[in-house]
Amino acid sequence: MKATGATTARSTMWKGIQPLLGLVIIYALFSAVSGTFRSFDTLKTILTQAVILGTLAAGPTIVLISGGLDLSIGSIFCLVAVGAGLLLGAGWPVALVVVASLAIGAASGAANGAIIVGTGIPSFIGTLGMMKVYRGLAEILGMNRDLSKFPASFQAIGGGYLIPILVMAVSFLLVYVFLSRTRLGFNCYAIGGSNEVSRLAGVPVKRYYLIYYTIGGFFAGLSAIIQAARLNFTNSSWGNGMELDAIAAVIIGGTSMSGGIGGIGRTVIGVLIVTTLNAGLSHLGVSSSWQRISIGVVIIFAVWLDVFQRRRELKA
Amino acid sequence: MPSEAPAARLVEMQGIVKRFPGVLALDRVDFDLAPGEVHMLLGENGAGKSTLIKILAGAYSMDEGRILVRGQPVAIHSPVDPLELGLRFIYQELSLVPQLDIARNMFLGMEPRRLGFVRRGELYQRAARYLEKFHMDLDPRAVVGSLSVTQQKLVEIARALVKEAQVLVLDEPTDVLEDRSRQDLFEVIGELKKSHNVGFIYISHRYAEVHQLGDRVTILRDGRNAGTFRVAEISLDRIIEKMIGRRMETQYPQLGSPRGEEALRVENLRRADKLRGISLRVRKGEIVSVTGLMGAGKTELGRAVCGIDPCDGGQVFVDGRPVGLASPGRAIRGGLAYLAEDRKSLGLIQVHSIRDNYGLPSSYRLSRLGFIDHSAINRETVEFMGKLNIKAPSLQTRAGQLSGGNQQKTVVAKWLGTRSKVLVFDEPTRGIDIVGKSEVYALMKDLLEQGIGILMLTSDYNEALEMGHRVLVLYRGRIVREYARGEASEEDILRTAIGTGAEPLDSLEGKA
Repeated sequence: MKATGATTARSTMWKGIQPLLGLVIIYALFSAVSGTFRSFDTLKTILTQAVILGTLAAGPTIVLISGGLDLSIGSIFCLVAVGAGLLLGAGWPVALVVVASLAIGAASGAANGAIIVGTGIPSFIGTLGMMKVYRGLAEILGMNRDLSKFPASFQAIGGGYLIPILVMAVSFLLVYVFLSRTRLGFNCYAIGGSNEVSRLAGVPVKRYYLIYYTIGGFFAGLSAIIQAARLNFTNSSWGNGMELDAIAAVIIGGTSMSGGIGGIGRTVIGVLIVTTLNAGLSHLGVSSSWQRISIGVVIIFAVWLDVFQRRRELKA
Repeated sequence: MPSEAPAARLVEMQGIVKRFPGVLALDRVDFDLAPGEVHMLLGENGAGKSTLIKILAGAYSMDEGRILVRGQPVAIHSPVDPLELGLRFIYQELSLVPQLDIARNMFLGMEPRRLGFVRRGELYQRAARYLEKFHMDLDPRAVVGSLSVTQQKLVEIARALVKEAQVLVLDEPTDVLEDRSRQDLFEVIGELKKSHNVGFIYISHRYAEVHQLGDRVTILRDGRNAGTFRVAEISLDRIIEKMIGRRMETQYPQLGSPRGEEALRVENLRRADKLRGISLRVRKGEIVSVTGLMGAGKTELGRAVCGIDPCDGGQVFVDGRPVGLASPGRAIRGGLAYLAEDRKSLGLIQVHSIRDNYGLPSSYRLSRLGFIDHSAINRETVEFMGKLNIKAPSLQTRAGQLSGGNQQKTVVAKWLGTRSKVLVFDEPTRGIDIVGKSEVYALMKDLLEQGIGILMLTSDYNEALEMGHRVLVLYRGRIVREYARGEASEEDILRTAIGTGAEPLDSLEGKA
């Protein structure tokens, strides 16, 4: 009994370290192949590129741990970007635009949660439908043209290195505190572990789901604001497939697709693995198509490793 | 005819022994089946019925003994072997495809085909011919999912017979209360044994039907064959006596007397035809056992009292205060806790640690302004692990790695953490070995001394008697009888539970 307990503790820790190890290996490999890769500039580039994906991925981290799934965050990302562009164009003050944009994101997430909880349909279907709805709304509002020439104070949010990276870091910190310190976070793991056990334990599962999806929408909105500020334009074609990139980063980090297991620390690693891989490959002049292929292989490898180890653990 | 024919028995199982870690599940059991007979297999939960059948089905391997089919010794090593010998098993869980119709199900995997295309016309003609031949009044185009459970059984029988089965093993579903097509099932079985000389092994939980259906009956008790009889030569009373017998001794603690004040009062709880107006009281320091056959409404009662399933009416009071039944959360805050029978999927989150499981229902109490007090969870978990003697390497050990007894103790700890005043135990010791059982009983006794009231839902009559200050017997959603401690034997309870010789009592309040 004691022996099994000890091995488990060790194997849990070992499993937690694996993605980090992967990240270190990937970074070391690129540094070895290319002498110029190992510079402060590349590091800054990687971190900046991680900002959009990272803040976006904060949402699915929570949603996946709770046993849910949100496929619409790419569309919410787009809707918020277009919305922010329109409001700025209409001359709203920057601070108000930011607040309104975040509210659009959160409200979209809340609508997802309400539909899933209210109808009882699977989250995959519910958010697949809403993905189309938000995308269509964004297209109607954006009329497929660029909205640009934003005020400098808005551009500052995404400009340079410092502010965006800081925003991402604070987002991660907030999610960390949420998941590890609050009752909502504590019960998020329980709901993902077993919906029914949690309900029997008195957890208001439906209300909580509503909150988790709302948070997911909020971070999609935040990510969109940074992107819009950074590029100084928005377009209703944005965000296509980004929900899957974000979910991929969360999964690569080691958060379980079936819920109940995971954490924001893992997502940080997952996001860094994806961005380092992209940065390294483009540094070597590899085309974006090949970058995509390599990310695909990494997803499959990471999940296979997890499945393989769990199966071996079960046998033991 | 079966008595005349010297022809080999269809199936003979001789001296079957099966050991599980720490348990002798089957102890030299003999069993046989003649062509054209229905052989009923009876026994309480854990008596060894399903183990015996699983050995025949190739799901378990036996440790000693031999099996003969039509007089020839056979080796059954895998689930495929018995199928090749003409044996078919129809389990409680149906193995039909509910979306397909009867004909498609009957010929699944062996549809009449031409050039790779299914010949639909022939499929339905053949199905209809077979159904008529088997005396089954069913439409081959009816979708299986729309049939009653008993009708689905018929389809399974038909499918087995299409594959030329000679031995059919049926495991009676236990959760079906009333079903008009049961008579059809019995008639079909009666016809088939005559016209096709098929042998049936029928595992039943409805002892009252033994005489209606069976030719012979074998009673298992504690892994032994307690006797095989011609049905015509044994009364229901004798069968019940044989089933109970004298059993292995479980250690029960000496219970003290209850304190007197009321802990739980349930008034006229109703839910469709599952609960037909249930009223009961549990005092502090008292265990009230509620027993009955499967499907009598025990679990439904527990879940309704604890706000898990909605009910149509009735009230629940803890310490004299009304408890909201709208959600589990309200019942928990009112001082109730429901300890589900299915600890694996309803009691504990298997992939989470002991401490996380402990903290779950208490997360309201153990947080301030929405922030969880992790150190309090740790402290209390350690405290309860010591108090309840939960054996685990650490509080971070995953629940899935604990033994049955330790899992149950963890569930109890989890619910004590919510400061519950009344615990509703649903089958508290099902699936727990003898040592674990004694520990759970000792724990229940400790709880009584702390002034907790326990409502114990159990189908183990011995447990109901030994661990209950009072025993209430449920029959079809109604409490039909109350026994004081020491007033009844297991036979009495079983007789009441199957609905014979009991005058229904409408109101059973406060005999205390």
